[in-house]
Amino acid sequence: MKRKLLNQMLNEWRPNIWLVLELVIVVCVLYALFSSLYSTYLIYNRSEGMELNDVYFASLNFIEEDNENHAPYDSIHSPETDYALLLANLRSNPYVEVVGGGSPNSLPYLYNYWGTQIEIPQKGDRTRLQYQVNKRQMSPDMLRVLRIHGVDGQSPDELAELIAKGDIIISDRDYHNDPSEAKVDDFLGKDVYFYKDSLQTHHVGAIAYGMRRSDFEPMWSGNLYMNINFSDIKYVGIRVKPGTGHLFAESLSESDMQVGNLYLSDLKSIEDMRYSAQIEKYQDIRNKIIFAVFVLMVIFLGFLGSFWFRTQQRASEIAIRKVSGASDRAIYTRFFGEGMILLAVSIVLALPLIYGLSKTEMPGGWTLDVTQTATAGICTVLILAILIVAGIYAPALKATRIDIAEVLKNE
Amino acid sequence: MRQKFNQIIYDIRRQPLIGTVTIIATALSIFLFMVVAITERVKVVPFSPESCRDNLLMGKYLHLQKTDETGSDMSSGLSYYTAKKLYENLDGVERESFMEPDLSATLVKGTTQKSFSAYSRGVDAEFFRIFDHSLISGTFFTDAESDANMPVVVISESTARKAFNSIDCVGMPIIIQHKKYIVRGVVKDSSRLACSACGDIFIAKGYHNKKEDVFSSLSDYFGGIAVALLVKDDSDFEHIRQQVIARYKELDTELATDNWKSVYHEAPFNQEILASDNFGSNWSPDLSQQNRVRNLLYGILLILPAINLSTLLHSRMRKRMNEIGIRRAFGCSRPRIIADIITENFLFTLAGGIIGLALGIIFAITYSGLYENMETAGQNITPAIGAVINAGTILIAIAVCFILNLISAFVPAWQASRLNPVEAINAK
Repeated sequence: MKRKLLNQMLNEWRPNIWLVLELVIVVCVLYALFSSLYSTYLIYNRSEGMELNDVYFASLNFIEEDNENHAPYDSIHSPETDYALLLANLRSNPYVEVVGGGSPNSLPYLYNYWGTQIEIPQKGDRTRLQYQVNKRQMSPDMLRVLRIHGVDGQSPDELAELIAKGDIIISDRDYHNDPSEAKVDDFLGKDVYFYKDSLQTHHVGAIAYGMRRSDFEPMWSGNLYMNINFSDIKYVGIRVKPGTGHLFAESLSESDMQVGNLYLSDLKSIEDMRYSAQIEKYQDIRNKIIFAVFVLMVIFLGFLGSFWFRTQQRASEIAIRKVSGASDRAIYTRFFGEGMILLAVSIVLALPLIYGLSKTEMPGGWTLDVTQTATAGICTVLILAILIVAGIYAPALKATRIDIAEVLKNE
Repeated sequence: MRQKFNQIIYDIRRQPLIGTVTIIATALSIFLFMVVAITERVKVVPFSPESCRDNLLMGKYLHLQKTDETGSDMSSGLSYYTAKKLYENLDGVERESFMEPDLSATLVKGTTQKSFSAYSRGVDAEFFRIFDHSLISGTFFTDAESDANMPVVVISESTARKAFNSIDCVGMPIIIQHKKYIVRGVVKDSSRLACSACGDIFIAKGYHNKKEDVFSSLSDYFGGIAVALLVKDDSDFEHIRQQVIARYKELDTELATDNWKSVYHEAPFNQEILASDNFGSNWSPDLSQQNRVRNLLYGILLILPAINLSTLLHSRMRKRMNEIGIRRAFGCSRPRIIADIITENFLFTLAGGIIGLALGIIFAITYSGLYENMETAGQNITPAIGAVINAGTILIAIAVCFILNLISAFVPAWQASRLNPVEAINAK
């Protein structure tokens, strides 16, 4: 039967070539889309080591001296006292758990990068140990706001105490391409200095989880958490009690948002920040899914149309088969078998192209390993097989229901 | 032509499923192609307040590099000094505006109870002569007012309603970031798709830091300013760029004393580059990768449905073998058969194309998610109708139908024309 099926397919080589050509393109396009989406999912799914729900941020502004609304300071009042009072007002809000301050670079979902290098001089001629970090300056309370955990199980409170006493905390990065590069553990408990600043050393108190700039971007370098000077604080982070975000936002009065010459503006929830920071990535994912659906629709319609026509063309043959005792299942198997053979031929022809695609760097610099490549490939084949079966199903059903007497009356 | 319409209707009646599938497949591919094309075109076609897009160039950013062995560099926006030095009084430029290129989120309070957040940008008076904002009440501010940094603003209609519950607010005070300004005029709301010209509040801002001669540090070359250049109709962009390159060289002689030099990154940028967002303060625009991806996408959007339609047309043709055989027997030439099949199929494609185009336009107008980016996330952005429905859009749709038809119909038509009349007539 298989041989007969192959012969029959060879007899219809012209339309089959078109279907195979179409399938080769679709297999490559779908593989590229699925491997890219899978790579995105793998990055997205990495552990964060922090809890970012129920968090709000507001930018901290200062009414400058040339502004008519500026209130002059005396010996008692200063920007620092305004800041302390502003935070105290926020802390007294019944929905607030903890409030902290930080630099723009201390916030997630802002694409800032303040790169520096921590170094340990090595004895003798050995090269110094160096490690690239993104410098995130924040008050100890900001670690509590973001609930950053240590990789050895330290709580946010323990980490906050460390930076309060002047220690720095660093994190691992996602890539370790060069085995000779310094590891994050090499610095734990050591005194390090920053790049080109050998006058001051800093003690690395702990290794914590890193803060990514976006859920879809791997960490190219480590993170450095360290205490912040008041003059560098540009944002205030507020952790509210679970599920009370809206109540908190509604409860804020203008007097809560301003003390003296300091005022808060642009209050945003972490969800809003995440959404706006990642909108282009969401769109990219959406576009890829829409494109994949389009490609699958094309294949579905292609197989539906072609096999519908073949059913009409082969009506007599199918009728003779049925008269000779062929079951409905045998008719279905023959149609589906034809579709699967076309898919198999297309996959073989597409393999060199798929191999080339599998060597391509994915978005975010990710390269899929063998298992991940195979997973993306299997997904491609499975989904295509399902769509082909769906496309062939209606013509096959029609074939099983033909009126044998009507079809064969002229034979 | 009427005969061809009859033929199509007969064809659909005879093979309803294949005819319907053909139209759906065509409509689907034209829909997707047009959504992509419209989304791309909205970024570059002129519409108010950026009706000047065809003649607009924007000068942004400065990149300086040390000439010593360290090669360290600095890059950021322009200060007024640098903006004027590089872009003022260029030959072939009709108008120039010194403005803030990016919107800032600001805290605003009018006479209503609550303060709210709105997007503002500092601009000079010339800004409103380049970008055609429609004035509803009041006036734009004057050159003297912007040059003197007077506390005056022009606000959008929706901002006026939020701050004053009315658009009759000219002359009234408005508090922006705790500073008092006077409303000079109210303009119609502008779409956030007009990236260079949109905004809720336009604050008068001019050459308040006239440090023409005295520099305290290198950072005085940098600031938050960009220059919008309205190029004369008879002048070309390359001529302007050559002048800017010469200005960069002049700047280099000034910088050489401190061992610095400028790095030129092909500024000023035209609308295509501005829309691509594929440039920065320390890197040159490179549209090649973006164009490659776009062309690949357009290619796949055309070729896949074309192969599909070709298979379906092939099936339809096999049903019409007798008819073609008879026509050939009566002396119809092969080119005529090919032309007839292609014309007939074009009408089929056009029917699907009209449905696809209509759906594409509706989708492009109603679904704002197509245009969202980091700056506009969560806002309801609707493109101007004129930016979506225009002669360009219709022409693209017709061209796509034509190409799709040509790719899909030529091979089946050629095969049909090669049929042996005797075999074709005898064929079942």
